[in-house]
Amino acid sequence: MKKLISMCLCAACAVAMTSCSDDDDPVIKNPDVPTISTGAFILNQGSWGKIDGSLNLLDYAKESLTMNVFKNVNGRSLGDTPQCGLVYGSKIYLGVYESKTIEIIDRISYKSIKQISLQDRPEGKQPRSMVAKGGKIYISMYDGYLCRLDTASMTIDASVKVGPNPEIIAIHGNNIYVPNSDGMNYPDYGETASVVSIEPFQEVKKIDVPLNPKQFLSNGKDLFILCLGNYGDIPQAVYSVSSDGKCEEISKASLAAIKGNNLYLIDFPWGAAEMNSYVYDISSKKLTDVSYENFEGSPSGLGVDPLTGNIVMTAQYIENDYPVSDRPGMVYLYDANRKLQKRFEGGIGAGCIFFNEE
Amino acid sequence: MIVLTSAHSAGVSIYMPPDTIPVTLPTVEIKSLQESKTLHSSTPFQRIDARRIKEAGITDISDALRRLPGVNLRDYGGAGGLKTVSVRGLGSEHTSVVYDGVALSDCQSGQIDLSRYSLDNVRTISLYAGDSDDIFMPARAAASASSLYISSFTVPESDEASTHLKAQMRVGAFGYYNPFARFSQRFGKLFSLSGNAEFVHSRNDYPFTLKNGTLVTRERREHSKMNAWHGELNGNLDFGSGRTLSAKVYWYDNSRDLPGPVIYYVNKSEEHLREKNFFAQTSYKGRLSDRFSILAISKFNWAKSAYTDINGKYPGGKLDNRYTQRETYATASLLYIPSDNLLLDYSADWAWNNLTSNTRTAIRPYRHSLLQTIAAKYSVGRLTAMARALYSIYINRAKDGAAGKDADRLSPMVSLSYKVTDVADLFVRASYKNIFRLPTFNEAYFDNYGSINLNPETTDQYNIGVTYQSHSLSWLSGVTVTCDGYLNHVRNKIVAVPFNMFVWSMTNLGKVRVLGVDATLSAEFALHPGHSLMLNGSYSYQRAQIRTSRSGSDWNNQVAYIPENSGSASVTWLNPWADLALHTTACGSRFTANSNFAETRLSGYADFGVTLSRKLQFGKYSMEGRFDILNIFDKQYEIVARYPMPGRSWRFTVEFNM
Repeated sequence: MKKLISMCLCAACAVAMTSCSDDDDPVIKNPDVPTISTGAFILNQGSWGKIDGSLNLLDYAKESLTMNVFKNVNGRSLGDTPQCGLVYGSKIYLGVYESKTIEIIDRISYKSIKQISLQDRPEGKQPRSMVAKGGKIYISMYDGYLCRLDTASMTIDASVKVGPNPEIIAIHGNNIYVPNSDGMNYPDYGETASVVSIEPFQEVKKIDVPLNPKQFLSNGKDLFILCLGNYGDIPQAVYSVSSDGKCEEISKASLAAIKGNNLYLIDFPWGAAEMNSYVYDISSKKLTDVSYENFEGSPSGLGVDPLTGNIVMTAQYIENDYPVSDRPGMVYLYDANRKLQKRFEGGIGAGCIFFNEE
Repeated sequence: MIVLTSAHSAGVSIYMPPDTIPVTLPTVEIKSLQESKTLHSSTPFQRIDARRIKEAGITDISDALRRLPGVNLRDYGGAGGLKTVSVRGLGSEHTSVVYDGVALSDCQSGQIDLSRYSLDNVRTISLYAGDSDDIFMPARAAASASSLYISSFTVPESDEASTHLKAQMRVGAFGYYNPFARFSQRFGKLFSLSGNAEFVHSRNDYPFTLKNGTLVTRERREHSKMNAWHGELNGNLDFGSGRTLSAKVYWYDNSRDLPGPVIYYVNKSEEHLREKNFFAQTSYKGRLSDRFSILAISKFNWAKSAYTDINGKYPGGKLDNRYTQRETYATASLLYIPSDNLLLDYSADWAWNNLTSNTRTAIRPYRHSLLQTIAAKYSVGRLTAMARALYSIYINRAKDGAAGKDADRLSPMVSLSYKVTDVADLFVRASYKNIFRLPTFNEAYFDNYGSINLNPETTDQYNIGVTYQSHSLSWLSGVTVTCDGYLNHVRNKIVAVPFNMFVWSMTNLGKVRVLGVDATLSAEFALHPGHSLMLNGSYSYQRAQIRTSRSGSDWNNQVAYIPENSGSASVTWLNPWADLALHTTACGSRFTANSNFAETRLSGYADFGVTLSRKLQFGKYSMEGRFDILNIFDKQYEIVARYPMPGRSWRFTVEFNM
């Protein structure tokens, strides 16, 4: 039972990093404004209590997928069900949900610089998603906290109570938007989100959102939210969030990513014969049906490179009409026009995709 | 134990479900009957009795089960770990466990945790892989793919004094202690009373080696303490001429911390499980005439489990799930013996099960089960043939919601046994059984993953086998060899599938084919007056293949957790000083998932143990000491992935009898 619940909650955190400040000094390299992206990292959750998680690297230039980059270098496992990560400056930050750790590794060598164990912390043990800004990493913890990690001291220096069961967060303006899924409270999922100001680091307000909020997305100007509904009569959908907090449905969707003026949506509901995919033009509010060349399987992760526009998708094989969860899945690399560049055999339980930017 | 109810029909013996009704036969005769049972059963049958438990160095119930061929034990490790069995590649929900003549039930999980049943109280453990070849038994005993019978000491042995007392203390590594007491008292010829009580405490914090890539650390299995109480009381009225009335009351209460699977970089767990179980049962068996006998059983069962986990992710910071299930059960069987060669039986059972809980999604499901069997057993010359048909009606309802599907089906079973020659004990057998299992309440109703649209999971079992027993020689007391080959099919297998990325659901998907061989060997050599050597061995080959879809990547893959090769062996030297037993159970590599590849492969193991025991007699008192070293080579292994088993450890038992 526990296993199933836990597996159900494994998020596909298609984290698209957002570059929001554009008025910094161009000479000194600012980690908040990356200029080059060379590939994507993919976190594989493994299979809870059976197969540990891993980190794979997709390299654009070589069109290659390197498996287990963490374990190959560090000798040991990344841990159980890693669910979030990002590249920031010279380091990669990885949140490992079941192992209750944050691994900080070098961006080039992948050597572990520090493993932060969270199991003895009273506030925030189970990392679910992360974003970065201004030398801080903000991490939503499924046990109800938003934690701030200082990249200089590599310690968690502040926590704000949010939740219950916060999911994938986004920075929008000077706030962090936290979807409170209340996912452990089945069947009464949550309908709120916490708005946490970056400075001072505190919850400003709670806003009402549609049922079972999963992920905030922001391009710096516009804010969106993906909500999963009740997996029954209330379907999963993506909504625009106005400045006064009003949510308006855009489309049914189960996965979403954002880049500039475009919102990339995948809808693959239960029992559907095939996947629907859309691109939403934010300024014209136009929803266009699109297709991904030669895509097969059950999509589990979606990432759009904010610099190159490349699209990375992960998918599970479908057999006998059901996705196969304990078999390695597939990784698709598309260019910005959804032309397939290459398909790879990936890891097990792929979900979180983030980009190798500097 | 085993009862011959129809002495006048030569060559035809009618067996009760083992140990339903006790009878006062001389011990020697009981023993010979047991052995003949193993010999000429028309369906695969294995038995371990109290003597072998002692002499073959069997340490606990899981060790006993691992020595039965075809049995896959799921053991989550240590004294407090859950232990369930599956037989011949079918899921554990297909195995019924019959305790003192009445099936145990768990309508919620469909599995019986065998760690509750202490070996100290076990008279025999018997396994029918497939149908039982007993004819006079409740319908429910035929309603599962295989049956494990556990019989306890419920009545005084015929050679025992009218008052018998046993007191025992066992201590072991990792904070294990287990006081146990049993008494029996005969009141005249008519009435006897017996009871037992025990307490088990174990810290269970054994060390294990964790290999995490190149990082090898020595860890401890923290947070797995348990405290368990268990008591039973039996009354038996023997009216003579095969009429007995017996009653049993059972109580169990276990409070245990659950360490959970080993998770990298985490050594804390806050999970706790409290389980309580009470049942009361009565059983009447009587001969009505030379041609008719009747068996009637009733039972009430109550079981409660409370699972708690502390984690900020739960509403209120704590998960507290309490489940209570109840069962009322009644059965009656009528045996008719129209001629010396033919036995006919009609049995009818009714059971009512329900499940309530404090979870907000609980819909209070309940189930009526109406089962009827009609069976015939025919013996002529060296041939015994048996056929049984089970008609089942299951009615599912829920007080506060939609219930699972009802089911009604006819399930046939046939078996044959033939004594090949009159000059030797060589028997061949063949059997077929078709049976199904209903979805468990968890599978049908559990929160958002249960599905009320599930159909029953169906099995077909075909078996052919041979048993040979040698005649006694001066140096060889006996050799028994059994070998069975079988083919099992599972259809509509109930499996969990991803509902979407976040929610899972149960569905009927999947076919499994199992091709297997079970073989056993037991031999006893008389070395010298006072010295003898006993050998016991078993071997199982199980090719359990996924046969869901030819296009699937798992087509022909080995089913999760079924080893292709497994076996056990023990050698015992009985001597006047101290009996010595060396024993091993071994298992080849398995996969933890139906996807077979390096990451899901679990290595094989061989676990060796040694037992030294000595009995001293002082007139009517006796004392026995036993010392066990378990896993002497300190082999680190797992039966269930991420649940390491204990390494080398010891146990010391001292027992007084009067």
